[in-house]
Amino acid sequence: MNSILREILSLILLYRYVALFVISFFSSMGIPLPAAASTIAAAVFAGQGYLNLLLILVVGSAGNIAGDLTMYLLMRKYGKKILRFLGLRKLAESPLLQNVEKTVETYRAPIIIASRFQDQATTLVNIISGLGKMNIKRFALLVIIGDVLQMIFYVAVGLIFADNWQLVFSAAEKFGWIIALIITIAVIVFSTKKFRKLFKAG
Amino acid sequence: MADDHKKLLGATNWTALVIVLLLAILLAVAVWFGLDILNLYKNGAIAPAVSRLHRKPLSHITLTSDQIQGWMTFRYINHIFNLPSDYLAARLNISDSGYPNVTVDKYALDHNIDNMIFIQKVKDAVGSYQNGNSQ
Repeated sequence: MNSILREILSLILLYRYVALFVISFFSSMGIPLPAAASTIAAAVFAGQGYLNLLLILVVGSAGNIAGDLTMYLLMRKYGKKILRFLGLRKLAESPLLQNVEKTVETYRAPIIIASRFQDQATTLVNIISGLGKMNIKRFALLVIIGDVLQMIFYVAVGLIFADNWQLVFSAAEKFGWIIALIITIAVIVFSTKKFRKLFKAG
Repeated sequence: MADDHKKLLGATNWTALVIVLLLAILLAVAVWFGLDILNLYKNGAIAPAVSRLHRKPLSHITLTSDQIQGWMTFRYINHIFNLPSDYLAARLNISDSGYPNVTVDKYALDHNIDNMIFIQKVKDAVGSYQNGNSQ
């Protein structure tokens, strides 16, 4: 078990739901924390009667949703400023980014929901949706659905595999990056097709 | 002939094609993951707790004292092994005000005790409580 995960497990045992909320929140913001492992571990602790399962579902989902929406709002409001601050002025003012604003609205719901299951993909989709100023109600609805489904999935893994969860998690970790890559390609391909249509129309 | 070929290429829905391809890869990854889990199950490395789901707590009896680790808190250890809350404090001479809400690692670090030796002492204390109770 890596040292970060050990620290995270200790935090969950010490601060329980507060720790779970904070980890879920910052992980959704793109900070590389083992949120999935934390949720699975919390579910194992719930299975042992140490934590409450319903509270884990509620608090974990709330943390994820709050993190996703915060990232989205930050990118929506300050995204271009951040790009300029990072020296990417050309990108911030490029037609490509302006087209994102027009195309992101039509993001397929399954892409946004599926991206919740992989931390890196979650961050990427949040950033693009924020930069593209996607309709906030639509984004929030899809994020809520995705995050609740994600929590149910990880809690189920924790409950079903109980004390074997670490083996299952390390097996799942191998495939996480592949799934992230697939979602990223899907986002790019979809956007490219729309871009092409917009360019033709222009 | 060449024109027909170009028309056919032009009419191809590339987005649909790529999405189908990605879904196929996703399916392959899912099957691969399933086989991986199946192998772990066949090797006896994992045993799903589905049959224990109706019980409360679900897996209370599955941990042994050998599985105690430094990241665990004393409160958690007390809970898992059904120990009286002051048992470990008395047995290990713990006078820390944070007990039982402190991890085994942190306690050993704060009191300059060798981590591995202290974890072993905790394991022994839990083991002897379990043996005493089972007799």
